[in-house]
This record gives sequence, structure tokens and C-alpha cells, in this order.
Amino acid sequence: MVNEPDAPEIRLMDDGMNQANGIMQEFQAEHVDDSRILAYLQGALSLDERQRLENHLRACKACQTQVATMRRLQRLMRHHYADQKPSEQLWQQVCEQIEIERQRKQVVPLRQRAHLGKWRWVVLGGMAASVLFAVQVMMIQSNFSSPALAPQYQPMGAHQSMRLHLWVRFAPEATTDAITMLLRRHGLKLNGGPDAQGRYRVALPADADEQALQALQRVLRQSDLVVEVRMP
Amino acid sequence: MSGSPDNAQLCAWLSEVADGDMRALRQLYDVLAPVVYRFALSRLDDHHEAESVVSEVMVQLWRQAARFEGRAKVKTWVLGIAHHKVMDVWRRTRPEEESLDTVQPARHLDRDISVSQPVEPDGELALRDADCQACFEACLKHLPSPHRQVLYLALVEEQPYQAIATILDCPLNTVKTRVFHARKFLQQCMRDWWKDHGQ
Repeated sequence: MVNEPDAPEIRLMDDGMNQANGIMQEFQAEHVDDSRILAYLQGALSLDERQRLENHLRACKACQTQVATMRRLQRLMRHHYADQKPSEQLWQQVCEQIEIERQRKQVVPLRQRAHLGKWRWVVLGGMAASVLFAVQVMMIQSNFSSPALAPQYQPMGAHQSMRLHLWVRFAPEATTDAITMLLRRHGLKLNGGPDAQGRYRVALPADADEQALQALQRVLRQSDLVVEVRMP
Repeated sequence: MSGSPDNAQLCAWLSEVADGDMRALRQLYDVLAPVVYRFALSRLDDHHEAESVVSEVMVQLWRQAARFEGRAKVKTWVLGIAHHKVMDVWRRTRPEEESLDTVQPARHLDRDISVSQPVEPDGELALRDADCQACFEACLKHLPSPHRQVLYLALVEEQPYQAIATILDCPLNTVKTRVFHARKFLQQCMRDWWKDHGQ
């Protein structure tokens, strides 16, 4: 490590830090560490720190090179990422995702939930009382109803066939990973296919209703990975 | 990025989101979605996966805006959430590359580039800008994604090292070594590229 007597303030790598580590030895071969140079380039140094660093730079060719390299890498890196942005329809997908979750799980932001405040227990109590009342009414009705009106029990597993589903044809260039990600993002599951037209059967979440079905259809149609979406 | 709203403005929008304001969420989305997208892209290198991360982060922001305590800047907090989502995708889709976190760029190359090579006196990347970008793009592809991600946060998002360590939930020294190795690797790779393609 080079400790210049006229610039002792410049932050050098800590001598005691991980001496056995070869990486640290490489660090120590440099005068000024990258974090200091980055802070300098970002204008995050105080006036005093900046002046001290610039004094050192004037006398140190290796450090000038280091700063120039970092500056150039920053420019190249920014240029590389400048045009990278999410597609236009992503916001719409975020909104629909929130809407679907709202319907499915009654998701509301935390503070909105807190706004119910002291009335929360009154509301919950009222809801519980309503449910109890409804159950009692049903029990009384069932005592007087004819056998023909008795509830029809379905065999086990029958409810699964009632689960809403769609038939989806994916773009030929869509990868398995991309399709899996898309389906997972919307709580969907591949559970059949392909049929003669190359369409797959995609099951909706068990609690999805008609409204959610419509929303998911729209979402899938907007995806680049999907060519066709059909109702059963 | 210049002209973007400051942390106080982001905090104000976040507070409005906690009250269920979708317009505030849209404001946050306009500022943070490109940042989260590029951050995810720097690690995953896949457009669909990066968009999926953005989508999940924005929904989580909607759900948990009230949990923000202001101990870090909003951007740091959001990037921290994004990091966990990115790592979920990473582990799910690239389990065999899990160990890449510990790999140094020099060892990741088929060509033997030693990072312990001394810096040449004229070590600056003395390339013309037009050639330089093509050369840089070629080398960036070979840079291991954990290093690319750290370099993105340091150079593009201008995050201080401590904030990067918070975002990536790793020790400060890991950030330092990754920036150091990434810089050395790119320097060396660009010099070699120029030798092969230049003139």
C-alpha cells in the first residue's frame, strides 16, 4: 500500500482487514478504493474530501487512470441500460393483478385495514351474527322441507371438475420457463392438453369466479406468450 | 437519474399508497418500475422474468406500503424487496448456478485473465466511444451476473456501498470485492477484445 505523506487523509483499504485474503492484497495495491472514487464521481464527497482527493490525483498517475476507467465504465453502463424498460402493458397487468387479489383475498393496503379502527370488532361481530342467523334459518327450513329438496351430495373430487378453466395456445417461441412464470404469476395451473389444435387446458384458482375469469382472459390475451385464449 | 423525484416525494407517494391511492401507486410505478426492471435484468438477463419481478414488487408495494418505516431510502427499500423476488426466480429456474455467487469473474472465463495482473501505466481503456460500446456489450455478457448486478447498482443507480450491501443482504466486503473484480475483469476483457477486433 502506498501511503503518501502529503495525502494521509485519503481513505486506504484497512491494513488489518483480512490480510490472508488475496483479494485484500490486491485492494491494497491500489491507492484509493473504488467506493471513494464512485463517491467522487457522484459528487457525494464533501468539499474538503474532494479537494484532498483531487490533490492526490494530481500527483498519482495510477489513480488518475483508475478514475478515468471508472468514469468510462459508468458512461458505458448507463448507455447500456438507458433503453431497457418494461413493456407498456405491464402497468395494466399490475392493476389487474391487484384487482384479482382484491377479489380473491380481499387484499387492501395495511393502513386502509387499520382505518376500520374501533369499528372493526363491531363489523366483524355483526358479520358473525348474520352468518349464525342464516345457518339457523337454513336448519329450520330443512326440517320442514321435502326429501326431494334435501341437499344433493357430490362424490369426492367432483368439485375439482367444477373448477373454471380456459384453453390457451402459447406462442411457438415461448419457453417452458416463461410459460411457467406467466401461469404462476396469475395463480393458474396447466392441467391438460395439448388438444388437436395445440391448446392447453389451464385451470383457474379454485375460488375464481366469472369476473376473475374475464380478467384473466384479458391478461392472457395481452401477453406476448399467448396466441389464443378460448372458453371451454 | 437526473430529474427524478427525491426521497421525500417518494415517501409521500408511498404514504398515499398505504391509504389505497392507485394514482400514487402509478406515480411510484413510473419512477421505480424501470429501476426494478433493470436491476432484475442485470441479474436474470431475461425480459419476461424481469417483468414478472416488477409486477410482484409493485403488488407487494401496494400491500405493504404502510410497513415502510423510513429507516432506508424508498429506492433502497424497494430494491431490497426486488432482490428477494429476483433470488426466488433465480433459485427456481437456475438451481445449478446457485454457486455462482462465490465465483470470481477471472475463474468464470475460458480465457485465463488474471485479476492480479498489475495495472499497466497506460491502463485506461483508450478506445473510441463508438467501438467502445460494442466492446463493452461483449464483455458485459461474460461478466457473472452477481457482479453485473453490483456494478449496475454502483454505476447506474449510484447507490453507496453500504446501501448496496443492505439491498443485497450481504457483507460490505462482498460489495467491495465484486466491484473490484468486475472493474478489473471489464478492463482486461475490453483490452483483449480490442486486440482481437481493433484496428
